[in-house]
Amino acid sequence: MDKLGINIPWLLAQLINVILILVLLRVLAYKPVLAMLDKRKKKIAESLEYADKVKADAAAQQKEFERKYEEQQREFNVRLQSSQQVAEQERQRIVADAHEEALKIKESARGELDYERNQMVAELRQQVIELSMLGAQRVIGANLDQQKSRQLVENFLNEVEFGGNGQKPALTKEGAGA
Amino acid sequence: MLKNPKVWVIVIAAIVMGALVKIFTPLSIEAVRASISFAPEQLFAPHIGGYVFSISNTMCTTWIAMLIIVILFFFGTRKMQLIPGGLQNVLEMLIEYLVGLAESVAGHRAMKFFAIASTIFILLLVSNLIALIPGFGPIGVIHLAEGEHAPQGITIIGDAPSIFETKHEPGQEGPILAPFVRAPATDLNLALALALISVVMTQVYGFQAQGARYLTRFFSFGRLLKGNIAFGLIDVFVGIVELISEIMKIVAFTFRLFGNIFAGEIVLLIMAYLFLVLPFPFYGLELFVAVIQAFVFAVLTLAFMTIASAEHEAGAEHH
Repeated sequence: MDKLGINIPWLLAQLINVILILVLLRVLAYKPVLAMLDKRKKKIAESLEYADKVKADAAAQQKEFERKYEEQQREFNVRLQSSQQVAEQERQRIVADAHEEALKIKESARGELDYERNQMVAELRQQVIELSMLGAQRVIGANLDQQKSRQLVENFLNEVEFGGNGQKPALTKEGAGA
Repeated sequence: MLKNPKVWVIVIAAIVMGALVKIFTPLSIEAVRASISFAPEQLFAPHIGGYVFSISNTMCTTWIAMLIIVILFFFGTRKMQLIPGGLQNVLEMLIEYLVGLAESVAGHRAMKFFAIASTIFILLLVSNLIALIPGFGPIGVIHLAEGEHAPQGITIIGDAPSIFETKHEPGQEGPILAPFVRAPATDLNLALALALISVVMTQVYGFQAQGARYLTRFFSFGRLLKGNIAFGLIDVFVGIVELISEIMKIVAFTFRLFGNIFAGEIVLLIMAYLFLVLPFPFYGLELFVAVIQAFVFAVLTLAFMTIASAEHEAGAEHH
């Protein structure tokens, strides 16, 4: 043992050295470093968790936004369609109204035309009567009984269907025949 | 890191420097016997209060190593920051690596064994490496016998104070140079102290994990008392083998560390005597050995503690 240099005092001294450095390392190294590593681990875990949360939040918001956007789009489409329908209906209504109006106008125009024609026919008839009476007076040279002769001419006119009661105009016999 | 050419330049420069100094160490002190002795050399022995405190050079080096460790960790962990930088970063990497090592060997029991294994690793790493720092070898104390003269070719800085007790006895071939710095692991006292702590704590953890049942590892009479003679005798024999292996662990731990580091020192010395540039590759090898021996001691400690704490597993020694 002596040759090997092992002796009790040196062995004890080295044991004390080792135990001393063990204690010193525990205080100076392991405790603070492990605590710091632990702290950092926790911090990183927290940060990652937070990042995940933020990510999830963002994703949820994105989804929500997309959902809302789609909803709005759908609503917009519905509104567009309905307004298109309304516009179509309106158009049809307007066209129909216009048609009706046009028909009315046509109708009233025709009525007026008829009325004027009748008027004219009646006037013509009157003139024919007067002219024929005048002609007859000249031929006969005497005053005819106003009342009687008018009756006669009218009867004649009725016979040739030259009437004022809105029937087909037949000014002459040839015209009627045609 | 190893791909960085700068790192390689530094490593190679360190190896060359170290080799150079180791080369010139023995040449300048040819008159002095090369100091190859198992026992660490006594540097001085102050008398304090009637007691003689014999201080060896390995003891001094152990203190230097401890001082370096304490200074490093004191400044490295003084103002810990969440975002580490510089020294704190390096120390954290080291501790984190050691925690990872402990976890890979010991699993869920890692933090229990971590402190001892890591302390052994850090102490051995630093002490092995500072012993390889060039320039310390040739500086030391020469103890002269009565009427003996200091050999030529050496520079004497001063007389040792009279409180130093000389170890050198007349009749030896010449004065011995006791270098101030000698690798602490070449002191069997330190190696034995570490081995004792490792093995004793292994037993302590074994008891903690298994209670009195841990003793059945060494004294297993259960089957013998039940009448099963054949297997009972085998159990008893295995117990004896286990007991011997625990004791041999101490011896193995001690001499593995001592042998490797001591042999390394001698190899460097002999290579330097043989040829000038011969120590270069060996210096690199010794750097490697210095790290590996610290690592092996720590890992074996972890492994033995894990095996002792595990319930009834084969306690075969792993080398």
